Amino acid sequence: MAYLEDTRRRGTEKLTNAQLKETLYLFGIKPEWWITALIIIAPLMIWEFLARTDRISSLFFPAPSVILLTSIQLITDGKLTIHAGVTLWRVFIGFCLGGISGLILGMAMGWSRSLRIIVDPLIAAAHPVPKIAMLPLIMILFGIGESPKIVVIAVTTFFPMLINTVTGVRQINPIHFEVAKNYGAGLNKIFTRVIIPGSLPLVLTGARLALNMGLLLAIAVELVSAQEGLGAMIWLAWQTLRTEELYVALFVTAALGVIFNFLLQRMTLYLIPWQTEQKI
Amino acid sequence: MRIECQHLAKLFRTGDRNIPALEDLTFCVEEREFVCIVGPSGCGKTTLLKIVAGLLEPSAGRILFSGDSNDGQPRSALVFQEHGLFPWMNVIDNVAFGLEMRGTPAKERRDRARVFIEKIGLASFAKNYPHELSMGMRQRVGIARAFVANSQILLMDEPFGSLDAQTKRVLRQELLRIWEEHQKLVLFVTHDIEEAVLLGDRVLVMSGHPGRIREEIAIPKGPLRDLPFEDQPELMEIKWHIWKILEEEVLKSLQMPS
Repeated sequence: MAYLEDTRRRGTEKLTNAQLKETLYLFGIKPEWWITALIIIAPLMIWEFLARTDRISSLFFPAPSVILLTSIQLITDGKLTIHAGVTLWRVFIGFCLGGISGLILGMAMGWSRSLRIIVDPLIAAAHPVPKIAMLPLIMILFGIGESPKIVVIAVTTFFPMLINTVTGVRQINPIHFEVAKNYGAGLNKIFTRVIIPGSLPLVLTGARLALNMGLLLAIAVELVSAQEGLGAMIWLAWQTLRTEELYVALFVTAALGVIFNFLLQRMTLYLIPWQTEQKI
Repeated sequence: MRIECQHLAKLFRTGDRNIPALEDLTFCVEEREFVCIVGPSGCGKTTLLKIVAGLLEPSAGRILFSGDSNDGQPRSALVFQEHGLFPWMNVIDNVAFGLEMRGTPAKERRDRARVFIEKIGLASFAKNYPHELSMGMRQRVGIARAFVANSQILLMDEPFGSLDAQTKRVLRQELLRIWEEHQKLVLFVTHDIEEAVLLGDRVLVMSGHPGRIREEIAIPKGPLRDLPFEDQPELMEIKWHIWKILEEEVLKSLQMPS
């Protein structure tokens, strides 16, 4: 009897939980997201209150409403769009150059043992070097202007792409190669039907890492040497003490990172329908 | 198609030691024969299948395939223990893989794959991916893939090893049914003596370390092949006989310092 009582009580508990969840499902938003929203909104409101009542310096911590207005103004006069556009363009070109060469070399290294043995020590030596430290050297080699910036971003995106691609190819179960060979697959078919789909999950993880690091390095390079771009905007805002612009640039940078991750996650779901849980 | 193995041997090299996996294997498999190979674990059963499949080169000896029709289709299709399906292809593409490799146009190979998918009772799962299927269903897909490839030799490496008893029983009957319909040469590796006796026209009993053939046993088959094991007393006797041989082998391998 006691057992029955117990299960019944547990049953009702579950019901109330479900009801609670249902009420939280307003506008089709997951209940957990309400909590996330609260975590973001509450501090902003406190910040706004503190700035307006002059309890914190509005020179260093301008009220969120001021930051919002500034960003609207920066968007309408085109400044923000240009800076963000320049940064995005650099990340994109750098990723195309570095990411794609990382992908190609990674495939080759995953496939060929001897190439792996030859190249591996070079990668191990070059990978941990902070790429921003190479900027002066790259500027000596590539001059000033756009190219050294793009080269730094390309070098940065190259490594995560390469390492993930090599691992992606290497972790394919050898049985899949045997099956393919057994059914008479040539090198072409092994490549398109086994190596590419088999390594794709890790390649996409590599692309995500590469884009994040590319954005990071783009900002860093722009802080040091650029007239345009989000990093340059941050540095200029700091030097002229226009803190609201500084915050705008920071938020836009953060938003770009979030958008990159979101898009790549969507792409992963679409490209890898055979994986239920994402290994990211 | 007929397979003749003559004095096959295989050495594996680990470091500076040569480990003999197979030694002096000689046997024939006739056309349309269902031959099972049993042996203690590590006796080189899988190695033997891979050599027959052409995935490994023998260190000595040779295999002759006679009656090769040579119309471009692969000579043999191998059904793996598990993980044999491509996780990135749905059921129909997995089943049609052999045809795809031969350059059959997409529509034709899908149609032919669909026929077999229906035969194994997975018609409503054609678009599903392997991870969405149970182990038993996956094994059925693997078998269908081998049959669709329409090679004359079917090599099976403990295809039912990881399945529960009921599923195993159903799949064995299914395999026999499809085999009787298509009449292929089957080389079936298992560690399950009962399975070997039940399915095979002939059983090759192997010894371990290195793998050799201890005994060849012809299994008398009545017209009703898929009777349950318990209803065939003469098979019980053979099973007992094989077990006696294997017990000796297993004991020997346990005493042997590795």
